[in-house]
Amino acid sequence: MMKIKQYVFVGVVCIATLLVATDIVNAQGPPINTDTPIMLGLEGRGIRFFGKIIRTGTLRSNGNKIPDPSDSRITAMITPVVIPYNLFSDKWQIGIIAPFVNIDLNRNSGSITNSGLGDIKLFVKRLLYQYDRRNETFRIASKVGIKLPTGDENSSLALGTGSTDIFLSTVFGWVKNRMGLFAEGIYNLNTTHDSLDFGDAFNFNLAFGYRVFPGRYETYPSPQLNAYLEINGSTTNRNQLNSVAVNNSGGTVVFLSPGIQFIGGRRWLLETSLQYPIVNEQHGVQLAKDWTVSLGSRLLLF
Amino acid sequence: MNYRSKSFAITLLVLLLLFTAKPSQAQIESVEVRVDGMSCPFCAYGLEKKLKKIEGVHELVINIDKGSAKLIAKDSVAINIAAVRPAVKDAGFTPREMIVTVTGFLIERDGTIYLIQTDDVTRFAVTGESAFLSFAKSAISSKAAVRIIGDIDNVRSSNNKSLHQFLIKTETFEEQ
Repeated sequence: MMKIKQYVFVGVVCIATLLVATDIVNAQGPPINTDTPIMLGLEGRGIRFFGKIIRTGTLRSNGNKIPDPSDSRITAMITPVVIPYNLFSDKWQIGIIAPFVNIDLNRNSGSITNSGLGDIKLFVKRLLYQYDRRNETFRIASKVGIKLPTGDENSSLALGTGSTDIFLSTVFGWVKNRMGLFAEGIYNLNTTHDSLDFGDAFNFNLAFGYRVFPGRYETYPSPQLNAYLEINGSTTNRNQLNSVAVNNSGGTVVFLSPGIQFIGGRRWLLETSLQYPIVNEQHGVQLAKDWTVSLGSRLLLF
Repeated sequence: MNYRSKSFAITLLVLLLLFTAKPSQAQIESVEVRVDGMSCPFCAYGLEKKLKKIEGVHELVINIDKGSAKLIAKDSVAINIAAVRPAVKDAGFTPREMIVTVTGFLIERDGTIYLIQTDDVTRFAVTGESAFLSFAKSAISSKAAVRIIGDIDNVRSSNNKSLHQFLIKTETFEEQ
């Protein structure tokens, strides 16, 4: 029973970490689950809000499916609000990501729910390199941020990790005519809460985007449909409890994420994405993610 | 005619043109700027926002495929050309050449052809191939209003005391 409690807790913490991590990379602009170095321009302000449903319900031992005596299912719904703002010049951006989280845990013995504000993140992004040609751009940006322990971490269904963590990322983006390629690496320097030292995590995202229509984009604005295929991965070190490694924690998860995005006007878009795990190599015995569905919108305010 | 007399005559001619020309006969009709890096239409909103703020802009047409933004002027109001490139840059893109359509009157001073407008904020020196030079000669002598389309370069800062701030390399020209 103690062991089940432990992996449920670790699973929930992992979900919360993944949620927050993916929210960062969704901070602004296409593609859907990967960040972009293309920013809004000086004094550009936007808002992004979306719902993300994550289903975690397959018990795995070192990556292999095993029977789950408690038949646990965790459904997390997160609705982050992301607000970026460009200041000083077109090369600097600050932002806040405020996630509202609802987590349901269902198992044989009953179900419990917790909801509220998750861990808020603040970030600063800087464009490092820009090479522009007609209908083509190649840019590199870097981001540094802090995750604050604003989510409830004391409940058995934690909404946050309770730790104050730092993250650093670099994103490359190349867009030419109808195609776009993006690559991103994020290092999460995780800290300690209540003797539990969260393992550092490295997230990596690759995205390929293609404009389905219009084939030839002339007068702006025109309705536009984009298709994306992304690979979103995360590899996390084991947590340590009182300096002893927690076996049932950490590991590598990689999702294949197809998605579509409809830009209906100059200031709004709708997008949806499904993330399906293609690699689920978590250490020890842990509940693994089955799928994630995102549905969201972005608005440009000013 | 000595140099002073020539200068006096040209100044008199300029003043005469300034006071007799109708505003609609002498103004920037449009400016088209090539914008590199405009590969994300959703990001073009920032460009639209910045360019529409420029003084004198009545309408804006952004063409993603061409990679250009065309600013169409309000009647009798000059577009602040010097603000175009900084606006594109602030929007996060790279400004390249600008094509301007300007109407006004041609004069010649010290071997340089100028396009004179009713406002004294923007002054243009004009160059071109031999066909333009003979057209200019005839337009100067007939004092006809002309329309010129060409590449524009900001050659001097606006507080420089020289007569022209911009140089137009003429591509198309006609009498109005």
